[in-house]
Amino acid sequence: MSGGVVDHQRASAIVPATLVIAWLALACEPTVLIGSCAEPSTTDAGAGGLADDDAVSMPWSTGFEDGLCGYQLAHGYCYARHGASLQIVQSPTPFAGKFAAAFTVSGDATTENRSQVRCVRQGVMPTSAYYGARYFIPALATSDGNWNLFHFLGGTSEADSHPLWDVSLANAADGQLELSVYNFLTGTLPKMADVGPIPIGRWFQLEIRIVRSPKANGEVTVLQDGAVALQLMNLITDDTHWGQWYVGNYARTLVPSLSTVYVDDITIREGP
Amino acid sequence: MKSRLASAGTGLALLLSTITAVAQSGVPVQLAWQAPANCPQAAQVRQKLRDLLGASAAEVAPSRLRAEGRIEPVRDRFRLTLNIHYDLVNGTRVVQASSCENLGGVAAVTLALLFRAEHSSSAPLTARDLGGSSSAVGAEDRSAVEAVDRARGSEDQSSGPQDRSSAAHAAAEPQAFQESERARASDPARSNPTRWRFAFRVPELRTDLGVLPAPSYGMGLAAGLRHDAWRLLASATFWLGQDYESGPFVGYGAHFGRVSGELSACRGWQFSAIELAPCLLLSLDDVSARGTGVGVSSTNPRIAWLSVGAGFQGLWSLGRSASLVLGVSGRISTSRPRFVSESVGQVAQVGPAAFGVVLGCEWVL
Repeated sequence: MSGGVVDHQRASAIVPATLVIAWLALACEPTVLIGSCAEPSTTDAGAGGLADDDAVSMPWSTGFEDGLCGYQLAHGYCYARHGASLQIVQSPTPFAGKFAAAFTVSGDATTENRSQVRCVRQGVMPTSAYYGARYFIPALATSDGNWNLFHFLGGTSEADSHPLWDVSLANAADGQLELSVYNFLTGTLPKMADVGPIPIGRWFQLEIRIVRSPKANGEVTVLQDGAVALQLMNLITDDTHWGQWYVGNYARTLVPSLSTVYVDDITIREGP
Repeated sequence: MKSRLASAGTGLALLLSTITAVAQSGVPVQLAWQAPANCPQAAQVRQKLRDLLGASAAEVAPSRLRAEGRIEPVRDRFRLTLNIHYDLVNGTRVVQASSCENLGGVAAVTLALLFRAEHSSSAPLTARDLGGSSSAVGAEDRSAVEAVDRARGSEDQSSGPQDRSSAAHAAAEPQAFQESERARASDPARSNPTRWRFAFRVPELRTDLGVLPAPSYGMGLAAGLRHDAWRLLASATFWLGQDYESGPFVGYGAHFGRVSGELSACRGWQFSAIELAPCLLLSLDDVSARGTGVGVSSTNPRIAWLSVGAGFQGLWSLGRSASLVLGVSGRISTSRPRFVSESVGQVAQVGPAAFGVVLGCEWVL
């Protein structure tokens, strides 16, 4: 056999061999678990969601003392998209414990997708519960009306879901920030009670009580530092079985565009 | 007029007696030879070379040397032009003598010495080896001829004291060579000369991209064997640790540690002082990763995988036993591990291909 033929055969063999190796490389993607969540600390009762994979049990809380593990252990998760970021911080001084979470978004109007960074609890939500968190807004900003702090959606899964309720920040006539609630089921913005502006540079508590009902006997109550900012009675609050609760920072247009809000002491509880 | 006729006659004789050697039986160095009829012919030169190297030299140690020798009359003297080739490296030696009788011996000795140099080290021969230092070699070779002339009782009145001194040295050269050969033959371990040579590289500085999330930098060493133009090396590299944060989760990520080994087979081609060598590579990466971030605990797990690839190395000869090595390579991973931390998901994944650069010193014993 001539050398040329041998060389040609060798060259012909190299191509399929390379393809086989490339295929193997793509097919073989072992997962190496390099970090796991330790048992929840006494401060964070993050295991509250472990009782049932489907049901979101109460009480549950996380103050980020074990980082993002409070969500992880409760089968939740955190995410950041479109220029947003999440950081576990010790400054400003957390409301409780040693850590809080900084949720930073880039509210740039030229960006097609809305910058968002949030943590999510999901499952079958309690029939009636208070969903709360401590927020720290370090500086005033001007939003286009959709600077979201809490978001509820429902459906059969995340892919098959629709929004239910938003609790957001909006600018009052004097530029101060105030709460704004949006009912996706009716497409309305209920009028809020005057509980004063959102404090800047200090922790405040935001809570919403939802009595879930697909009929007109549900309830929604929003509290700012314990003061009732909104109370709606006898309405459809949730027409789904499964749901998600988003906590964090979400914005389309903000001035200044870079916005960080700090969050601590996230809770789901049965009553006051 | 008389001298012109003599020159023409000699030229005609040269033309008629031109022999291009083809058959190289028993001679490890390919030799083409042209000489006037009254000068040593190809068969004599080859026989002399065979005598110097030993009959079995060609069988146990093939050579990459080739040469064309030509003897031609120049006035009342004779000139040997010996063009020597070693792969793509060329050199020319020119020797003049009053008699052409010994120029065949000079050619044989020269080639025998180069053959020995070729096999005394796996470092490739250089143009300087082939042609020698132009001024010194000319004098030396001329002296060699003169020394051989003297040994045969011929007179060369043009030789000065310095020439005679050099001549003594050069005349001793073939004798020393033959003694060396006799000693070699008497040593069983060396009578069957092996062409395998030990080679090692230290230090080796490496960088690559595609294995860990950021470019990696490492230092290592290699050891192996050289056989003719082939080089088989096994290397180990210790890489600097790497801290990596996974995108938007500030403070969350991983600390990577890495060691790697590589087997390479390279075939070199010599271009003057530069050797270029394509290589085939098989590498093993062993990576440990520790998840980092608040609340994350880790057992620092390890994973290893193979990659195959090819590379290209350039070696700049710094002498007979040292070279500076610069190489580039590309590899395809047979596995692409995903490094996942529970609370933030995937931190990093090994790329489908990696590209590397190596810089080092190669030493050949």
